[in-house]
Amino acid sequence: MDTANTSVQTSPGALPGVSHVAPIVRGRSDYLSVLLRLIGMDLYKVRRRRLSLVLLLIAVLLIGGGFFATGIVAIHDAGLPATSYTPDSCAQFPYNPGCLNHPPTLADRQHEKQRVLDGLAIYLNMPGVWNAEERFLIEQFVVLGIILAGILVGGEYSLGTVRLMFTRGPTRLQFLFAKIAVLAIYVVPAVLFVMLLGSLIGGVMAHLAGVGAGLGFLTAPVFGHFVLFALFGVLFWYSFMLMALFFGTLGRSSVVGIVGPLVWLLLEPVITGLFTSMPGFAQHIPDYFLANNLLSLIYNQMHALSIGDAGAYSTGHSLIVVAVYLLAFVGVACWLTVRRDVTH
Amino acid sequence: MATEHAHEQVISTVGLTKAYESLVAVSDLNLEVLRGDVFGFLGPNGAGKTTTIRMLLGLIRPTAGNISLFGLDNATHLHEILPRIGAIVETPVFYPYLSGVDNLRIVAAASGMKLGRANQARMDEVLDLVDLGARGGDTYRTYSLGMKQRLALGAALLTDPELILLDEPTNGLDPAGVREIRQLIGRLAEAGKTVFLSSHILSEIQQVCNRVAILQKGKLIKQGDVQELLSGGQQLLVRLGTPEETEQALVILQQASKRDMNWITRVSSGSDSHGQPVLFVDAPTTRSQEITALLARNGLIVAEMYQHQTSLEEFFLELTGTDAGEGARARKGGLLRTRFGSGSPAK
Repeated sequence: MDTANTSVQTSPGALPGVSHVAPIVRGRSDYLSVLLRLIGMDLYKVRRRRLSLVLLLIAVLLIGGGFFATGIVAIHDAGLPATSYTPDSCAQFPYNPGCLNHPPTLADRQHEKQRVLDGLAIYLNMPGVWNAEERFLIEQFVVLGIILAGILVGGEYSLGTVRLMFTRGPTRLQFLFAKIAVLAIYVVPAVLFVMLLGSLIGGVMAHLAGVGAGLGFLTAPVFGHFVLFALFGVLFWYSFMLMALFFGTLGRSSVVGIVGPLVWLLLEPVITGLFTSMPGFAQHIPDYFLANNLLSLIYNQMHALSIGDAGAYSTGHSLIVVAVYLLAFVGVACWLTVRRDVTH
Repeated sequence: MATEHAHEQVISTVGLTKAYESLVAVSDLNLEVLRGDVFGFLGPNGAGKTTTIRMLLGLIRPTAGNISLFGLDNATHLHEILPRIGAIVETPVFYPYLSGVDNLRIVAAASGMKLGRANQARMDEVLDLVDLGARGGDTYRTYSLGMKQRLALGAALLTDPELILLDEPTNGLDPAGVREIRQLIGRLAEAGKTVFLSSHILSEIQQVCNRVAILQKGKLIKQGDVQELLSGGQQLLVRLGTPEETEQALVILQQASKRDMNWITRVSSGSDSHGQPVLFVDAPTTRSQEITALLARNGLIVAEMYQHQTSLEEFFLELTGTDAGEGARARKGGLLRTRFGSGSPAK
C-alpha cells in the first residue's frame, strides 16, 4: 500500500530491546496513505475474525442451498411421468381458472406437468431468480451485514480498543473513514458474489431439470437494469450497515450498533402502515422513510426487468432521500467521534 | 538521567482542569516533566491521575487550561505529538480474537509503521523484550492479566517513542514481573527516554523515579525532585540509653533550639520501628557533633545517631492522609509522627 517515501529508523548504539536494534520501517504520512493503511489494518482485522467468514458462509449456504433445493425439486418433478400430475378439478376448486370439468386426459396431465415445471423455472432462471434474491438476500440477509458493521464499529467501544487506536497518531476521522471504507469494501463483493452465485446455481439446476431458459433475454438494456438492481441491492445493505455504524458510535457499543438498525427494520413497515391509514399530510410521511425508498429503488429496476410492480416512488426521489439519510448517519457519527471524550 | 536535552520540557500543563458537571476531576494542574525524567505520578484512587493521562493523550478535552507536549500545544498539534508517545492507559485493551503478534501488527499500522512483514523483526524484538516471544502467536484472550500487561508495554514501546506514559504498568504482575518492569524502566531512562509513570506501588516509584507529583482530589499538592522532597528538613534520629534520658534530652534540645541552637527547627520524641524510644531532631546532619556535645555536657550519652530519611510512602500517606496496608505497618512503628511534629501518631 505504501511502497514509496517510507523511512527506516535505526539507532545502532542503543540498548537492545529498549531503543530498537531492529529497524522500524515507517510508511508514508500523508492523509491518504494513513487512511489506506488504516483500511488495510481494519481489513486485516475482518479477515482474521471468524465472524466475518461465518456470516459470509451463512449467506452462501442459505442462498446457494435454497436454489439447490429448488433445483432438486425441479429435477425430481421433471423426472416424474405425466400421469403423476393431476390438474385441479372444478368440483373441488371452482375458483381455480385452470380447473377441469372433466376427467383429466393425458394431454391435460402433460399440460399440468409443464405448468408446475414452468413455475419452478421462473425461480431458477434469470431474471426471475433475482426476485427470490431480492426477497431473501437483500431484504432478510441484511441482518448479517448489520451484525458485521455493528461489531466492527461498536466493538471498538465495547472492547475499549478505541483508546488504543485514538492514541497512535491518525485523526479520529481517519479511523471512522477507514471503517466506512471497509464496510463498502466488504459489502460490495460479498453481496455481488452471493447474488451471482445464486444466479449461477439456479441456472445450472434449471438446465439439469430441463427447464433452462438460456441468456436470450439478456439484452443491453436488461443488463443495465440488472447492474442497477445489483447496485441498489448493495446500497440497501450498505445503508443499513452505515446505520449500524451510526448507532454503534452513538451508543458506543456493538449491541446498540446491531439492535438499532434491527429495530428500525422491524418498525418501519409498522409505522408506514399506521401513517398511510391516516388522512392528510401524515400519509405522505412514509415517502421519506429509508427502507421504503431503498426498496422502491430496487422495485423500479425489477419492474424494468419484468419482475413485479414498480416501486412507490421515482428513482430520483428515492436517491435523494437515501442520500440525506446516509449523510446524516455519517455526519452525526463523525461529529460524535471527534467531539466526545473517550472514557472507555 | 537527563542528557543533552536537559531542562527541555517534554510535558507542561498550565491550569489544567477537567470538570464533569459538578464533579471536578482535575483542578488547576501545573505539571512540568523534563526530558530524561522518570516522573512518578501519585495519588489515591480517584485523585484524577487517569483523567490527566487521558487529557495528555487527547482522549479527553480539558475544561480549562493548556497542555504542551514536546513544546507543542496538544489541542492543535495532537497528531504530530501522538506518534512520539507510547502509552498504557488503565487496563490493557487489545483485540481478543487476534494473537499477540497480530495485535502488535494492528498497533504498528495505526502508529504509521508499514504493513506487511517489513517490521516483523521489530515486533519479534519487542515480544522478546516483554518476555512474550514464546506466546506471541497465541490468541490474546488466552493471556493471563500479567501477559496482557506485558503486551501493552510492548505495544507502548513498539515505535521507540520519546515519551512513555505508563498508567499502573505493574497491575496484575507477579513480584518477578514487577521487578522486570522496574528494571526495564531503569533501562529506558538510561536510554534517554522520558517516562511518566502512574503507580500505586510507591516503593517502586521511589526506586525508579527522579521526580514526582502528588495529586489529591484533582489538585496537585506536591511536585519536585524525589530526593529533595524526602530529605527536605533533614532529620536526625537520636537514641539514648533509657526512656528517662530520652525525656531529659528532649527538654534540653527544645530549650537549646530557642536559644543559641536555632538551626534545630523541631524536636520530638517517638519510637522507632522496634518500639524503642527515640528523639527526632530536625536539623542539618552536619550539626550532629554539636548535638552530641550539648547532651554530653548535660551528662547524657548518645547511644546512636543517624540521619532518618522518610520513605516516599510515608511522605505520600502524610500528604494525602490516606491509609494503606504498608502505610499502616509504618504507622505502627511510630515513624510517621516524626516528620511532621510531636503530635500523636496518625490513626
